[in-house]
Amino acid sequence: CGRPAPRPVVPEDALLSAQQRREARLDAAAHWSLEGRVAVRNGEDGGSGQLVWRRRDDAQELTLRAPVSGQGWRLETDPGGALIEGLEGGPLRGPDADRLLRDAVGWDVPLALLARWVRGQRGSPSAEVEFDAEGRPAVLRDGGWRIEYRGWDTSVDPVLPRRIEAESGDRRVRLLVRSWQLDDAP
Amino acid sequence: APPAAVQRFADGLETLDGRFEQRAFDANGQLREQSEGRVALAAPRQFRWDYEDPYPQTIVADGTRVWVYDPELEQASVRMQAHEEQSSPLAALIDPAELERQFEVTEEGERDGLTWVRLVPRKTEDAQITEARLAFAEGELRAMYLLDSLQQRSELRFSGWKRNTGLDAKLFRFIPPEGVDVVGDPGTDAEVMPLGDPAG
Repeated sequence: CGRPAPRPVVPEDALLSAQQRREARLDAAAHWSLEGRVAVRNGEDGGSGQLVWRRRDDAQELTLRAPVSGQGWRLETDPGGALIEGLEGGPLRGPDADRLLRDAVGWDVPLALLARWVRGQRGSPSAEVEFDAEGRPAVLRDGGWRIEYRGWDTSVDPVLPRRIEAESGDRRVRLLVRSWQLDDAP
Repeated sequence: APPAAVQRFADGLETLDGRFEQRAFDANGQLREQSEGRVALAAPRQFRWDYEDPYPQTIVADGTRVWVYDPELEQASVRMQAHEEQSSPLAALIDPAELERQFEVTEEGERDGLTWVRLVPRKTEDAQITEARLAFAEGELRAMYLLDSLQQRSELRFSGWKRNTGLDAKLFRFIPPEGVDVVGDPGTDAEVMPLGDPAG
């Protein structure tokens, strides 16, 4: 559905090394948070709402709020496991965040990879990347997903995505980031 | 019977149309979002919220289903409008008997010119809202404060209420625009509660 990224003038390896530098800087900035809106689809199921995603090293908290009443949920994960609160029937725990999220709210999303994609970072070493005219990632292919970057927030350094669309089969995540916070980007 | 302020507001109410401003606070009390838009209601259980700012968002309850449409994300989610599940006490307010069925209603008295009424859901285990407080003045609902099970607070202020102005029925119907992705469970028409009979 996206038009092919224009051929960048800069040679591929220079683009890749710039990408690696960007990714390394972001890895060093392990405290970040974003605020925006997300729409998730998982086959026929899905939902949308206001999302606040806060990450501290390898612990994170995602809070989804629906409009009006704010009915939603909060997922907290750390290496020890995951907890989701705010749902009918009370808090739920599980060792694996992805499975808990899928079973509790029907979102089938690879959170660890998504946490990298949302910052324009490749997730797994086998990821492929296409660059746009400014040398920023335009499309990533990673972990069976196709991720498209449709806008960047240039008010932060390094620049971070503003609109992200990730798709894999009948699963899809559309994220519109309203604000980024990088606590200690080197 | 419901408190006088609620009764006065709901008496003879068929449709309601007004403006709202909303401030949403997270569990640490930090202001997360300020939004505004239009809200409309029609007895017995149709309602529509049109958020205009900071981004467009539409919620329509047509009496059978509840639609949440986000134009920028080009996605609309739909689910059955379960009888007892009201997206906010405002919807229940249009039928005080319904309000009493769903909430324990207590009068909190007068403060800074407003009459406050507190609502606590009777069925707590599946209620996402743990408490709602309504503020009335001169027989009009001026504010609604909601607290949810994540300790997040929502403050809604209303203005410019227009009562029984015969709203167009199309206002409470939602047809997903071309190209918008529809997700969720539209349910089957067999589960439909006819609008005619008051629910429950």
